[in-house]
Amino acid sequence: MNEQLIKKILAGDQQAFRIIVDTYKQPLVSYLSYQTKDEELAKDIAQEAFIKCYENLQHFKGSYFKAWLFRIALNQLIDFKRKHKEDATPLEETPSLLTPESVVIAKEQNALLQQWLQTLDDKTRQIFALKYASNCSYEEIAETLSISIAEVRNRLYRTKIRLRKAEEKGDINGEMLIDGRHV
Amino acid sequence: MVKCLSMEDMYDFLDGRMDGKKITQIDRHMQECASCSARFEELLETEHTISALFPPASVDATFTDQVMDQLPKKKTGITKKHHWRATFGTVMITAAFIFLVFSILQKEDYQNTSSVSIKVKDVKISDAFIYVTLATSGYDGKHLLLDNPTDYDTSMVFPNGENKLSGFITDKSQSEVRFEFPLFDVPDSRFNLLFTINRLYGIDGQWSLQVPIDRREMLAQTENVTLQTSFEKDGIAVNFIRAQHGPENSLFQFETKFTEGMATFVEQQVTKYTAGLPQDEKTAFVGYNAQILFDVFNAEEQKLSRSIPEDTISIQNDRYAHTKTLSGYPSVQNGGYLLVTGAKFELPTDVRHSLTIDQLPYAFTYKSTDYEVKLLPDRRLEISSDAKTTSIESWHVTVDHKTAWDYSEFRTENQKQYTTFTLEKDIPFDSFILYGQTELKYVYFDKPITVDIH
Repeated sequence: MNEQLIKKILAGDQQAFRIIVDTYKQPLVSYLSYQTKDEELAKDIAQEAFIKCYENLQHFKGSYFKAWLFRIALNQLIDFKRKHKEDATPLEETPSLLTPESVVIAKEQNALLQQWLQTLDDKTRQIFALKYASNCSYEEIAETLSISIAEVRNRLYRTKIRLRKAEEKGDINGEMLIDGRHV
Repeated sequence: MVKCLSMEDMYDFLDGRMDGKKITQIDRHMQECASCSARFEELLETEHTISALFPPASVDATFTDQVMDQLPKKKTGITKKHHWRATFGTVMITAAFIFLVFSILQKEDYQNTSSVSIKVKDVKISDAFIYVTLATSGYDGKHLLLDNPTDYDTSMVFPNGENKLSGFITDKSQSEVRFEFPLFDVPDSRFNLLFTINRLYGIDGQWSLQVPIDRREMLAQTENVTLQTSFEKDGIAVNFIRAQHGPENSLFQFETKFTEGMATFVEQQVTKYTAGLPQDEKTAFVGYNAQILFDVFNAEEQKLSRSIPEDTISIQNDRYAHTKTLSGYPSVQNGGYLLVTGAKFELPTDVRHSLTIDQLPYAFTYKSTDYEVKLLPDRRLEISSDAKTTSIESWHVTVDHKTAWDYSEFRTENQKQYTTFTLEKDIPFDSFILYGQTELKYVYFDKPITVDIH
C-alpha cells in the first residue's frame, strides 16, 4: 500500500500524504513522547519529521517506510537536543539518567518497572520503546537503529528473561538492575 | 508429544517470529501441556505489564491538519496568511457539455491593487472521466499557475458528506489548467467536485471552487458487467473483474498474479540468487510481476487500440506483485471480445557484477546480449545494450550494500537501450555492485484465451 501511496504523492497528490500522517502519527508521537518525556515537544518533532519525510520522499528506496520515517524523527530529535544543548551526544551514547545506585525500590510494580527500564542501556531501551510504544516489527526496529534483526531479538529476549527471573525472585533490586545494564 | 518449550521458543511464538508449521506444533503442545500453557500465560502477563509502561500518546486530527498546512513551506515562522477572500460560485451542470461555472475571487491585499480571478471555464463529463478546465485572468507576472503540487487539492464530495481525494492535472498553460477525474469506481450520479487552492501564482491564500456534477444521463447509457472469466496458464493467474461499456469507452478491470507454482519458482530463484548476500542487498530482490498480453476486438473483428492510457496498480507481496489493471478501449457496446495471447513476466536474475571504478568501461555478455557499463560526467553511470535482444529490464547499483543512486533514466535510441543512474552525491563511488534486477520473459500461449466482455 505504501508504494502506491508514495507514487501518488510524488505524482503531485499532496492530500495522499494525509494518509501517511494519519497512519504513523500515533506510533511516532508515542515513541517520541517516551524519548522526550514531553508530549507537546514530541508532537512538534513528529511534525517536523513528517515535513522532512515529505520533502525527501523521492529519496525513499528502502523496504520499511515506517523505519525510514522513524530514522528521520530520531535525527530530528538529536538535532533538537543539540540545538538546545541539553545533550550534545548522540542518543546511542546517552547515559541513563538513573544509575542503579540511585534507584529507590518503589512499591508499585509499574513505577518499579519504569525505573528498571531507565537503567537499561540506551539501545535496549529504544528497542523496547519502538516495540511497545510504536508497535514496530523486528525488521523496522533493526532498520531504524541500524542494527541486525538478531540483535533486536537477542536484546529483547535476554532483557525479558532477566526481568522475569527478577520477578520470580520477587526482588527487582539493585543487583538485577546492574545486570540489566549489561544486556 | 513435542517436548516442552524453551523460553526462547515462547518469545518467538509470542512475537510471531515462526513459520506456520512450527506455530501449529507449538499450538498443539500448548493445548496438551498444562505447565507450558501456564508459563505462556505468565509471559503474556509480563508483555501486558511492559506494554503498560509505554502508554499510547493521543494524537488528534489537528495534528494532521497542522502537518498538511506546513507542507509546502519551510519549518520556521509559519503563520498562515489570509490575504484573500474567496467567494463560492456554483452552477448546476446537467449535461455533458456545459461550460459555465465560475467563481470570482476578490483580493483583500493591502499591498497590491491588481486583481486576479479564477473561474471554471469548461466541464466535460464522459463515461470514464470528468474533465474540468479552470482559467485565470488579471495576472501577467512570471509565476507559473499551480506550479507546485502543494498549491492545490482536488476531491469529490458525495451527498453523504464523504470526501474522496481525486483528480490530477493533465494539461496546463500560463492561464489555464485542465483536471481529470476518473469515474470507473464512482457509482454516484450526483456529487460535487471541490477545488481548494492555497497558492496562486506564488501568492498564499484560500480559494474554493465547487462544481456540482450530475451524470445521470451518462450513467443511464453505461452498462456495467461483472466478468466471469478467470484462468491459470503457463505461470500466470488472471481474474477478469468488471467491464464498463459507455457511449465513448469500454473499460476492463482485471487482476493478475503468478500461479502458486510460479510464485514458488520465483521464491526459489530469489533464495538461490541471494544466498550469501548481506540482508541489505537482499532487499533489492523484490517486486516481480506478471502481465497478460491481450487484444480487444469489436463485433466487426477489428482490433482496437487503447483509448485511455492503461492504469496498473501493483499490490506488493513479499517477493512478487499482484497487479490490478484498468484498460480503456473505444466503446464495444455490442459483440466483441478480448483475446489473451500470452504473458509477460518480470523475473529475478543472478546478474551481479562487483566492479571498481578503474574497471570502467566494462563489458559483459548475458544470454548472448552484450552489455556495456560506463561512467558519464556528473556522477552518472550508464548501462547500454541492444534494445531488440536485451532481456534485463531494470538495474540496481549498491555501494557498501546500500542503494547508491538517486534516480534513473531509461531511454531507447538508435536501437540501443540505455539506463542511466545519477549517483548519490555523498557516496564514495570507488567500488560498487551492479545488479540486473529484473529480467523480461515473454510466453505465448499455444491457444489464445477468449474472454467474453458482455
